[in-house]
Order: sequence, then structure tokens, then C-alpha cells
Amino acid sequence: MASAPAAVEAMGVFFDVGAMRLVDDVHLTARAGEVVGILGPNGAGKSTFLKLVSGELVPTSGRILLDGLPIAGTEPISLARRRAVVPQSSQLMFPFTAIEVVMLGSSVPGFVHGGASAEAERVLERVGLIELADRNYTDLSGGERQRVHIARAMCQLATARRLPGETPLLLVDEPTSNLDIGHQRLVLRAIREIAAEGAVVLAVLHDINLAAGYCDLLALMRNGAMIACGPPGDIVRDDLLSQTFGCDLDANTTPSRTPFVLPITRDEAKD
Amino acid sequence: MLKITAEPVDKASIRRRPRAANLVRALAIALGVFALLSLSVGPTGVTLEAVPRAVLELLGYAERSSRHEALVLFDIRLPRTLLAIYVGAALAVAGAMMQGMFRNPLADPGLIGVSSGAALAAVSVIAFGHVLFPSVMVVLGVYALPLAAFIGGIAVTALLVAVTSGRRTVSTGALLLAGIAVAALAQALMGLVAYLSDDRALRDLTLWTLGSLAGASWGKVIGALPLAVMLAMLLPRLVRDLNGLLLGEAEAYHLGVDIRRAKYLIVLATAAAVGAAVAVAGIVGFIGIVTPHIVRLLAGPDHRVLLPASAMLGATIVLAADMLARVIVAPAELPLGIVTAIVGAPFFLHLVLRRGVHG
Repeated sequence: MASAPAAVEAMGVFFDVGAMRLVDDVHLTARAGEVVGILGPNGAGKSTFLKLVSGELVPTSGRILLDGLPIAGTEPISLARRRAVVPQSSQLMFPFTAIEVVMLGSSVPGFVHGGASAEAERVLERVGLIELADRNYTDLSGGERQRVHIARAMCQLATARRLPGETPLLLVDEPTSNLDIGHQRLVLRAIREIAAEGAVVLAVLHDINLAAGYCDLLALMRNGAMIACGPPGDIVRDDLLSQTFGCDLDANTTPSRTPFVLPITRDEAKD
Repeated sequence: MLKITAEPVDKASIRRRPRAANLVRALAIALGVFALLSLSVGPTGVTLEAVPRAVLELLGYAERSSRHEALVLFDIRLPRTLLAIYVGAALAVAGAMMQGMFRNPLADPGLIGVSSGAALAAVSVIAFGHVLFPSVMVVLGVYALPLAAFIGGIAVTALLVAVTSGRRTVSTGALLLAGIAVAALAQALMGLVAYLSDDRALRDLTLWTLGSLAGASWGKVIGALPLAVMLAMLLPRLVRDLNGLLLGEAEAYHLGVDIRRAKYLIVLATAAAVGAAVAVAGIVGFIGIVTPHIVRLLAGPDHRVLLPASAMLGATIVLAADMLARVIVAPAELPLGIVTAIVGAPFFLHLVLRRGVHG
């Protein structure tokens, strides 16, 4: 994979709102097949950076390229054929059923419409929601809604007609925040499979251990800047994480060499 | 590359709410029935059985037994029926569009001031048009009022879009309060216009604010036609955008919707619908909120079904309300807006109480 050309490339990206610098000189390269986890404390600029990559926001300066072409200025339609987004939360107030929400993912013109419902059922199966396909979205729990939107994004990428050489890009903003540990694993495994099928995945994650277990690269953000980026083994380190999150963290590895981190609570417990 | 597992599937297996197709069929039948009833109801005693005879006469296949019947049917009842269908369909569709754009099921062109803005523009043209721009009025003819109402509708809708832009959801409270302010201002200005103008326009003002189809004529049908055509051309392009917008503006953009263009077109389509409806019938309230709500209950919020089904149901409701308006106090008649408000206002109150204004 290392020889593959960069599918997503952020170069010196800044984003200012008034006098506030929300994203500060971010560089990032991701190749097809990679899952990149974006970690960092609240307010680090992770979601803002994701919005810049999605095309929703335009960088104040710097460029973000998708397959070598700048995302800013690409028509919404042609971008939607290649890039799907799972939002942090969605305020849908109308009584669509779960599968109808998923099928909205295939409503982009030029998509394979004929098999949209078969594909929608397949992705609902993948996120473990097939039994709730005909339930009203507004009656679902927070975690179920989150999985519906993940399925919607999957449906969008799977039914899009892309040209040769166009890499599918999946952007997810805290996909597991409302999920129990079983569904967290289910969702991240599905995300891995999408990457294995040739997509790039950028995921804002809060759970460092989950990120370390499922991501190829971890990008650490703080105060809008990307302070480190590399394989989990290079990022999940006491000093780096403690400094980034501003608390004492203890990094270690499991017997199977997966790095993990625990907050240091021993001293507090003694107090 | 992602695998495209989608294979051609026959239409029958595509998961749609099973009731959607049946609903559309039932609504089409209801609309037809009520249109025929509307042609047969009136104080002159011309009944339904006169319709086929009059059609044959018009086509020259039967002797002209009674000029009177044909006159009543074709010059009075037919334009009235056509206008009722247009007003109902346009207001229902406008309501559905505004609810989609504002992501709020309680948005309605009457409640949030779009109808008032259109009516103010139309009333101003009636009061001052012939004095200030006599030659323009002559050139525009029957199109002058619809055009003015269209522009008034655009002004209010665009204002509301600007006020609420960029928010994830527009709270019912904020939207209704902004709309109430706009409507109050427009109604006050209409009062001012009435005060400044002569008696004829003043008398019209009551009909404008309460809504009526009593003045239906072929002139009005023709005047509303360009806006009706514009609406019919815009609607199919808006289905996908509106479906996306229900998820939110950012989500719609992620699905490939050009948000600015979509809003621009929705504002145009809403103003065309409301402008034409107000120009021919004044302010008829609550059709835009009651109709899409019923359709969503029956067939879900997908605009592929919602827009055509709302148009047919709205038309049927207005046909029924107009017949009531004609017969309740016959031989006089009630303003149409009174009938729709008596039914619609309690329905709206029920929705507000159930959802709460923050919903």
C-alpha cells in the first residue's frame, strides 16, 4: 500500500473564523485502503478539519486534494459520487423509516438506482440493523440512529458510479460515541472492510484504544494543529498523549502488540 | 474500488411504503369526484347530469337546448373549479416545500407571512396600480396581480431564508415568531393601503384577507397560468433536494445537493405557488399545513410521493371547502378562508400542543 499514490492530501491547511484560528497548518496524506483516526481533546479542530475535507468548509489557505484535484470548487454532485459523510448527529424530524434514510444515500443522480434497496438491506445487515429496517427513524435510539447514518454513507459509496482512478472517501465524525462496546466493534469492522475494498477513511474518534486497534494511521490534533501522525505504535505513547490531552496517561501494549492507554488513577485513589 | 453489488432488480421488489401507490390512486379518484361535484353545486339548479350534455353541446354534437346551463357550467363553475384545484394544489405543495426547506413540519405559507406578503403586493397594485402606472397595468392585464403577488411572496420567503440560514434546525418558535412579525407588518400595511384608497379596493380587502373564489373567471385562470406552469416545471427538480434537506443542510450537501441553488429554486417555486393562489383567491389559510401532514401520516415524508399526493389532496380539500362555502349560507356565500380556518386552526393547535413549539 505504501507505493500507492496519495488519495487524500492536505497541504498547509489553515481555517480561520474571524480572529480565531481553528485549523493551523495541517498536513496529511492518506492512501486508498487506509483508515486514519483523528484524535485530540475537545475543541482541537478535528470536526472542523473533517468539514474542510468534506468540502463543506473552504480552507482560508492551503489545499486539500482528492485524487490530485482540489476538493474546494468541485461540484457537490461529482463530490457526492466519491465522498460520503457520517455526521456527529443528525436532526431528522420527519418520519422516514430506517431503510428510507439509508436509501437517501443512493439518491444522487448517476447512481445505480435499480439495486438501491438491495444495497440498503445489505448495509443495514452490516451495521446490525436489518430487523429495524421498517421502523421509524424518529423512534430509534441514539446509537441506532448513528448506525443508520453509517449505513446511509455506505450505501452512498456502494451505489455511486465512479470513474476509474477515483478513490471513494468516507468521513466519519465520532461514529461510536453513542454505541455500546459490541456495536463499536461492529461499526469499526465495517469501516475497515470499506477501506479494504479500496476506500480512504478519515474518522474522528474519541476512544484511543479503539482507534489504535482499527486504524492504520493516527493523527493527533491539538489547538488546530496536527502535532503528530503515524502508525498507532508511534502515537500511543505516554508522553505524547499525556501532553496532548493534558492529563496523565499510561500507554502499554497487549500481548498481541496492540497499543492501548489507561488514565493513571492510582495516585488519585490514594488521595 | 468498492464492489458494486447492486444488480438490476425488478421494480416490484423496491421497498416503498406499500400504501404510497394506492394513496396516489385514491387521491386521484377523490379529486375527480369532487371536481365533478363542484361543477354541479350552485344556486342556479344546474346539476351534474347537465355536464355531459353541455360538453356535447360545446363540441357541437347536440342541440343547444339551454344556453343557460352551458353558460353556468363553462363561464362560472368551470373556472371556479379549476381555480379551486390550483389554489389547493399550490398551497399544499408550497407548505410541503417550506416544511422541507425549514426542516420544520409546522411551516406554512399562511402562518409565516408569505401569503400576507403576496396579498399586500396584490392589494397595493389594485389600489395604486392604475393611478401610478396606468400603461404598465394595461400591458400586464390579467397577469398584473399574479406577478405582483409572486414578487411579494419572493420578498417574504427570501427574508425568512436569510433570517434562518445556516442553522441546523429552525425552531418552530423562531420561525413562527419571525413569520408573525412579517404577517403583522404586511396586514398593517394592507390596512394602510385600504385607508388610502377608494371604497372598491376597501371592500376587496375583506375578501383578500379571508380568501374567496367568488370572483372566479377565465381571466384569473389565464392570469395564474404562467406561475402554475413555472411551479409544475420546478417541482420535479426539487424532489431530491428536498429529500436531502430533511436530513439537514450539511447532510444534503454531502448527498450532492447544491444548497444555494436548491434554496433559490424552492423560494421561486414557493412564491410562484403562493403568489398565484393569493392573486386568484386571497389568503386561504391552513391548506399548506394540514395537507402535507395528512399525506406524511399515510405515505411518509418522501417528496416523490409527498408533493404529488399533497397537490391532489390539497385540491380536493379546497374543492370541498369551496362547496361548503357556497351552500352553507346559500344563496349568499362564505369567504373560503373562513371555512379552511375553522377546520385548520384547531388542527394546527393540536399539532403545536403535541409537538411543543421547541420541537
